Amino acid sequence: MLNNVEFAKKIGLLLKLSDELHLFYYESYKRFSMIPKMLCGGDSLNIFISNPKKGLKYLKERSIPFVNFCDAKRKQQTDDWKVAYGKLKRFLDLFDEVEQVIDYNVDIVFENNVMLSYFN
Amino acid sequence: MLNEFMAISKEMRSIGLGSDLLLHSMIQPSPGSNSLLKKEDYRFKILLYKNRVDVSQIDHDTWSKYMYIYQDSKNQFPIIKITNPYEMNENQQKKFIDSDSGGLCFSKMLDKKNKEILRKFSSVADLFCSFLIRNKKTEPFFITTERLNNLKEKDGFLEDLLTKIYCLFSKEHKSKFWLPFYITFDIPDYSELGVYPLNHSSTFEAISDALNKKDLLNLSTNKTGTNVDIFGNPCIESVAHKFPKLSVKGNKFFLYSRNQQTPCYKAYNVNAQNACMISEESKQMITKTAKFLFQNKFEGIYWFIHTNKSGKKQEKIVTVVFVPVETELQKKLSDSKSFLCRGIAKKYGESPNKEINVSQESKDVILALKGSIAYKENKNSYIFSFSIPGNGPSRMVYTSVVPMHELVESSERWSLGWENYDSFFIKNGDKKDKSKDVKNKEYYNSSKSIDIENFCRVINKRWNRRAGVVGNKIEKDNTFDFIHIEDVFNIFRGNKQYLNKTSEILAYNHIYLLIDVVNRLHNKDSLFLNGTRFDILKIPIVISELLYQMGIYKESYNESASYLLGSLFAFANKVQKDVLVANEKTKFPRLIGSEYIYTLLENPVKAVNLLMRHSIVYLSEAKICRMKEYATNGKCETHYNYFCLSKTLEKLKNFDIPNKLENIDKILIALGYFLSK
Repeated sequence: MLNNVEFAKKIGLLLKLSDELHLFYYESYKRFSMIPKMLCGGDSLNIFISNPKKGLKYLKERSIPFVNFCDAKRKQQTDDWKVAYGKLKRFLDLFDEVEQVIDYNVDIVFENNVMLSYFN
Repeated sequence: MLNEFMAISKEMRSIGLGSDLLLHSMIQPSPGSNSLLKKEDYRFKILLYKNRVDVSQIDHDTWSKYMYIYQDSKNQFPIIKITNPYEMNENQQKKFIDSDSGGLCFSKMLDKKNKEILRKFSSVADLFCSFLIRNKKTEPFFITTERLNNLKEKDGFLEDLLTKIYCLFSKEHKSKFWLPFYITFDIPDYSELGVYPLNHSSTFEAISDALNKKDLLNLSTNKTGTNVDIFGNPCIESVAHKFPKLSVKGNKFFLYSRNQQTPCYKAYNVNAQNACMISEESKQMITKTAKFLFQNKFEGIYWFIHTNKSGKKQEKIVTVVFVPVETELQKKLSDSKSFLCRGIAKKYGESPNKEINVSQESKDVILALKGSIAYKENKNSYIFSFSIPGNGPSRMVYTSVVPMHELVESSERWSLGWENYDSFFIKNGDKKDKSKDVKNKEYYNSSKSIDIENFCRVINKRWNRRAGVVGNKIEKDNTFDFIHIEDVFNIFRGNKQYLNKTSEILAYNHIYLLIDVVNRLHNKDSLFLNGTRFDILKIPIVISELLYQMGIYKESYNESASYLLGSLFAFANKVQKDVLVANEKTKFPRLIGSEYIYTLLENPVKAVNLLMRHSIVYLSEAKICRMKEYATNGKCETHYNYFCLSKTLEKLKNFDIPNKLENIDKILIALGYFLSK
């Protein structure tokens, strides 16, 4: 059973990983000028703070294209498929772990820990 | 005369000297309101008497009697009623109290446990008791003014005291002054030491001088050989294992420190004709107290008293006066660069109209340092010397002619130092200060920004008031100095008891000041950057020194949670500034870290939450910039501050952010906020 603080830290890490996935998408196409100001992790951070369930749902929807992109790379066995697979696996594992224990109270300590671990 | 007496009594009371002759000249107690004091107020107060009565001779039951003393305000003259409340029922007691609702009632119901402790002490109660026993008064006895006049026996101290007080105030009676002469009790635990050192000799001397001048009391010590015993509030703490030797040569005691063979303290036996008369027990007691004194570096003259514990044998009282050979303050005075002399020079430099001979003043200071207070009414200046209760160094206070109420008010502050500092207000802008500079005008007229100069002036005024200058307006010059924190710290330097106190002061005043300065530096306040106002930046250096003396070293606090929190806020400021610069914005808003740093001192969790919520945009932008840079070049050169911030966050992972902070934590936060570069 995860502690509330630990759970918050996990969420922060999850958001971080989703950001990495998002960035990897642009990196592979070398479209650096297209990178938005808010990546998907930072975008869903606000929702996560207020309601983790909704936040997780939002993150799932938001990260579908990048997950599919990485998955396609793995299937096609391109040059950088190992990198993509590694990032994808880390993200998905953590996502499952968080999804299982999503029923947690949201308080100020939780918020702090999410944000601190995200920007770390 | 009344004022003088009032000042003295107030002074004595504030310092904690066992005396209380409160003269409520203007304020009479309203009927029914707080007629009874709380238990906390029962303090062991007045102890001036000539003939000490052996307390052990008094029975237990007599203690319980006569302890009910109160003063009736309906009558014009003070009446002290002494009854035995134990003989009454509760209702009768209540009635007894309520019958004089306008008066101040002071009572102390003694428990049986406390009786034994009380026996060790001489207090006013034993005076009364002895007086009653000697006069064979076993019934409740009322001392009225008429009775006082008709008293035949005048050898007792109580009669003398009361008659003298009565005579004193009967003259003032026309101007409706009245005297609530009250006596209260406190039972401190002196059982360990058994001896009561007096560390407020200077005040005592002032009082005795003042009283001698007016022929109120003849408190001569040396000539007549009578005992003058005053009990202070000694700070009894654990006695150290090291203590100096005590040797007796004739009528003199000499105290030797262990390491040095030269006598560092002289001790004179005033009372006893021969040193041989002192028994071994009392010698041991004196050595004990000497040990205590020597360890705590007391300066001044001390009166000691020793009674036989057994109570069977009546032992002569020993009164010993310890005279330090050389005090630190005298050394300081001899050095012209010292803080004291500077204080004097500054004080007299501020009043150009008065021609004051400095040498004369310095003589006075030296006299005062030796223990004799120069308390002058006729001249334009007063000089007081206070000694902080406990292990504090004595303090000189110079004042010009001050209204009495201010003197009384400030005497408490002087004596108590920092403890009774009330809250101060910051005024926005000094409209009177008309400077030629246009910027300055705008600056002073701006209502939103805190006027740091005024802020400092407020504090400095208080500071100076504490240090000595009262009633003198601080000059409005460009050479206005900020708080001389070094000087203040010097006062506390070396006394580890006061380190915590200093930290409190720092946490209370200077941290906010420091943070304000840092905020101004962050916001690039050009006006602030001009001039010599960087003197205030000495504060962190002094703070770090303070921490060093407290045993908190840089290596330890560098990675403490509070220090990291402070640095987090500083980095948040810098990250925001970097992002704003990158977006080519010339006008900065108020930076986030500087906005929430004050809340951090009060509620860290909330402050961190606010900071992170409001800086999500900036932080994420900086983060994406760094990620982008790393993806393209494989290096991260821009937004270095974000890197520092993330590092501090990584260190903060190990800590839980506390809900409340202690003083040292606040100091560390300020240090972290200042020193994070």
